[in-house]
Amino acid sequence: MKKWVFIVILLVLLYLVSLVVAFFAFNNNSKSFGDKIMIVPLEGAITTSGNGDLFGGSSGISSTEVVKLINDLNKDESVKGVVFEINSPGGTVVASQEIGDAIKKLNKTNYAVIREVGASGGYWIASATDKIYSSPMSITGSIGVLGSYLEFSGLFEKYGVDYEQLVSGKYKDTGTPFKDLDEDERRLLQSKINLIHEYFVKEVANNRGLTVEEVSKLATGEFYLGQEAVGLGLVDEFGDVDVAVENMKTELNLTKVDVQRHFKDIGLLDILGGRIFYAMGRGVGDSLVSYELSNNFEIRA
Amino acid sequence: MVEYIKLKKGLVPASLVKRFSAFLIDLIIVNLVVSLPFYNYLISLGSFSSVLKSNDMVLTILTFLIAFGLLFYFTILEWKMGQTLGKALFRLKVISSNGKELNFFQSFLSNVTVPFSIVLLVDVIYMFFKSGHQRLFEVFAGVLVVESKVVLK
Repeated sequence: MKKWVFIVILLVLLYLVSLVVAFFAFNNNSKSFGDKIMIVPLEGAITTSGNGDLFGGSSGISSTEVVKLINDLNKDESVKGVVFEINSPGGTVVASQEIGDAIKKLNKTNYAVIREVGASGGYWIASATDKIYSSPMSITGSIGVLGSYLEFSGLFEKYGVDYEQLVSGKYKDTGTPFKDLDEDERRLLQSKINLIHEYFVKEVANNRGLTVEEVSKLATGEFYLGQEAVGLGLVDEFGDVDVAVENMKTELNLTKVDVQRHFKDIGLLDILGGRIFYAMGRGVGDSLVSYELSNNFEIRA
Repeated sequence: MVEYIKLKKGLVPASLVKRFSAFLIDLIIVNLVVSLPFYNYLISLGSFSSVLKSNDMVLTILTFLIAFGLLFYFTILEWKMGQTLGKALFRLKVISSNGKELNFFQSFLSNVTVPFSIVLLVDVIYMFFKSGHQRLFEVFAGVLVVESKVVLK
């Protein structure tokens, strides 16, 4: 056997052993010998599944992943506190609510630090934590619900394209981009949005210890800068992640603590780079599925 | 023993510079290969100082993995080929000082200090005072590192 081949085989063997050990190490709940504070970055739009990207990672905030992470942190006794570093303009309603609910079930001291923006669904998540920090210039609030879709009926009319769809329920094709909304449908969708808005307001009021009336006054969809938000009771203190961590150490009376930034769990597929092909495949799959959907109405917080 | 090798095979002990350079290359290669699956994790730890301060279990596992990966790498390659990648690049060869073929035990014993930094330090310091630039455990194992014209084929 040529010597180069032997060296390559040996290095591949070392890599594979490391790969297997890494796989088990990352799937072990207890990852520290001492107390630790976890920093969990939440960056991007909030959805239930996140968005696979071409580089094998997942961009945006996946509520499925975050809820799983919070459950894991709950079980990890070495974790004494969690700081959620939020940089999100919001996202889908259910995903925001799922993460908010999971945070409320977190049995560790938890803070939110709003970086550039923690608005709408991003603020919903922040409000579920024990304490909110932000920069005086951070964008926050924007408590409101948005329902939107693209409507092409005018374009179709211009080019002589007719829309025909057979539906069995009156509202089944409400929100299709191929026809204009009638008054009835508009009222129906608005009522759903109002319901979600009420729920959102109640959640924030409950989370922040404010009355529903107080939050309702702020819940116009307006965004507030951090310096305004402190006065309005939407943010507790000014500070960045370091300030939050220091304050958490003081609150928990921790002198020797390991501060760790959470990284996404890495599976064998991730390590081998297989996610690249998965993400590409999923991108194509998603396109096909969304093409099939007749209704593209989307509600976001 | 060095003189014996010189006389018999026309070989000379490897220079310290070449030995350190070869070791550095091997160290980098093994570290890269073993750390690759932990890449995202290491990035997440942030600065190098926070890595050093961390008492994280994964980091401890990785440290052990690198240490014993190095031992495995040096032992197997020197036993089977008489050269690691670094040594091959600098045309160095590991031989048995008794003139016989290097066996597994000799290779293992000469490299057994690699995972243990403090012992390795003592082992290496010894090189500066020993003719033939042998490490202490190379003396125990009866191993010599010599200049070689043999290159990887």
